[in-house]
Amino acid sequence: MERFYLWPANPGISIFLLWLASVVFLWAARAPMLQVLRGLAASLEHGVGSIARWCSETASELAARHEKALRAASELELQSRIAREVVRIDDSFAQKLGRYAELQRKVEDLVGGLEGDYVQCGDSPPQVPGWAGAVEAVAAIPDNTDPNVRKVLEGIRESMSDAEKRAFKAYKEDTASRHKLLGRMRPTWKEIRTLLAGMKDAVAKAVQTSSKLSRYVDEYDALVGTRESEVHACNYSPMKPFLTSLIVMGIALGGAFVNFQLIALPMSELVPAGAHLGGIPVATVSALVIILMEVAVGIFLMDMLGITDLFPKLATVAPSRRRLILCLSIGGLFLLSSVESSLAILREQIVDADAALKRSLAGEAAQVVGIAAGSSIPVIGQAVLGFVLPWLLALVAIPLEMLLDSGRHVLSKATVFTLHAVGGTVRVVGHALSSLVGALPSVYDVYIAVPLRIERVWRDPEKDVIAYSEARARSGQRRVSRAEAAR
Amino acid sequence: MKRVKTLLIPGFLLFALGCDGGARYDQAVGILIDVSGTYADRKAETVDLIKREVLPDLVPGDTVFVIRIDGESYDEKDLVALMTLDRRPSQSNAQKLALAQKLDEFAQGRESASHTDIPGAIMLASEYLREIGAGSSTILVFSDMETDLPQGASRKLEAGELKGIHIAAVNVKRLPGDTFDPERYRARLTRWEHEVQRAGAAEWRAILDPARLPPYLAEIRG
Repeated sequence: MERFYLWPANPGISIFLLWLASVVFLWAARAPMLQVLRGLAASLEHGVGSIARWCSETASELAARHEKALRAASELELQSRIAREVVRIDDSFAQKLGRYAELQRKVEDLVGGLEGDYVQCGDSPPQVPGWAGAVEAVAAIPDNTDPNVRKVLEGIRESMSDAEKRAFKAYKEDTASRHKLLGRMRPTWKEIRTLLAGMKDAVAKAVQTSSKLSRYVDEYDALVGTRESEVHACNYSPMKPFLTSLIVMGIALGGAFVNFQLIALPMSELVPAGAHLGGIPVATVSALVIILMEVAVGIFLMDMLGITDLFPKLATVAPSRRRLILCLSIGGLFLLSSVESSLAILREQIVDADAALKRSLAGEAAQVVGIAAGSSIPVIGQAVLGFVLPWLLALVAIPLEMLLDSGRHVLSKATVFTLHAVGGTVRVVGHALSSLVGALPSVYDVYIAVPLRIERVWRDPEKDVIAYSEARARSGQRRVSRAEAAR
Repeated sequence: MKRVKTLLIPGFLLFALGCDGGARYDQAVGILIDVSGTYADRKAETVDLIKREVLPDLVPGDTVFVIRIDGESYDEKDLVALMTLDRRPSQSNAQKLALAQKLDEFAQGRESASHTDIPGAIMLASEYLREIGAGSSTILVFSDMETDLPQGASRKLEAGELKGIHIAAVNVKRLPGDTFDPERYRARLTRWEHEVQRAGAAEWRAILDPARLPPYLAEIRG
């Protein structure tokens, strides 16, 4: 600053002269400077407004797209639920109603048997011979004193009584056989009742499932109906699957870390231990690659089992090829599990050898302390862990798909939110800056207030009015009257 | 063309990952053991210390060598052992055991030198380290750090001779006069510090507690 002083020995006068020079200069350059400042304020306002508008428009566009995607996801989810229900209904019908024909036939057989039995049960009273009336009349003739006649009549009466007894006996036997037949019908009726109850149950279940399906279809219809409307009738929330899959992925990551620790050390026995790739030991990279391969094979396996759909192209592959890929995936996973299991055993051996070496190098005293427990439990545990973990890691494809599906929506929502926030912030900051820059001409005038006041005293107001009017005419605006211009 | 580009991108990434600028991550450790004067009776103790604190933490690919400090240490005959560990951990463990055995034999020897040629041993070690060219190079000196050259012998560490080499004086024995005047001991170490730094050493350190050796070596390895 001091080097700008005209008289360094007298800073007060120097500063005053500098101020004076600046005031005179700024007064002389007032018109273009004010134009620059106003232009700056206008462009700032315009620029900030454009940014805020862009943020808002992009956010709205993204929100609309997000809405559509959410609705599509909701439809897809409902479709899959309906499809699942249809499969269940199909199974249920196949299982329950498939037996309906068999039951029907059984019931018909039983009813046929019952009809036969019923016909046999018909009550037929014993037939009395036609001459029985005549014999009865003769037998009823009053007793005669003639012994011969009495003897004949006695004979007729006895034979009549015998015939009645025989007929009654035959009737009793016939009734007993009918009772036997009716007794035999009782279990058949019970069986028919059970079968009919089973049929009723099957039909009731089918009706229940059908009503559930009907409800889903109604729901789907409602969703499709609201697709075109502005109403936000979407009840699908991506947050739940997103958070769930995120947690499960975190757990899977922990599993992968354990798995990595299990095989990283023994891998140094298989690959050059001192070599590095990008600053990371090759053994570590190899262990990581094995784990990633397990995840990749798991993804293929889950896709081939139809649990996930991460490779849509694979869904169109012929069934025979799908089976081939499925077998290859299972085989690959089994191979990797076996490799890991053996590496886990090797790890235990390396750890033991290291411990033995350290004991040996440390000398006799430490050797006593470092005696190994000699238990095979850790080896078995590590081997089992090494075999099981790859299969569990293969399941990571399920939460991965969920994460990718729901993450898209969550990311979209977060972007919309961020854009709105950025737009709002830019608008507020822009407004503040615009106000600040807008105040600069006034500040400018305050700085050169003294020469400005002098100028106003000396300047002819008539010339100003003419200059103003001409300036308006040059810029294409209408000419104003003197009174208006003066105002 | 698009397919070629698709293949080129991961190929380039792999190449970039694979190109490590020729960086090496192995470590070379030169151990200098004083067998002269007052330090001669500490040979067995020093060997035990090396076996306990240095050998276990060496990893496959590392190189270790031991040089005896006697009257004329700038001599290849003073190289007691030199070993580069195999890339397989199991083999390197066997090598460590063999080296430990060799060191035990060295410790049992009754040799004792009348003079102490520490600079000569350091010069010999630096030559070996340069030849090995490991990722990190370290010299561990087990001595009282008092040089006593035979008459007529001349040792001078050239500037840059110890470039990139970390030097640590471990378990420096205090001489009888040091206990009366600690300044002598401190001045001796300071003198060495200046000398090795003048020769371009990456670092000079005096380690009192040998248990600090493993973390020190790990720190140098990076």
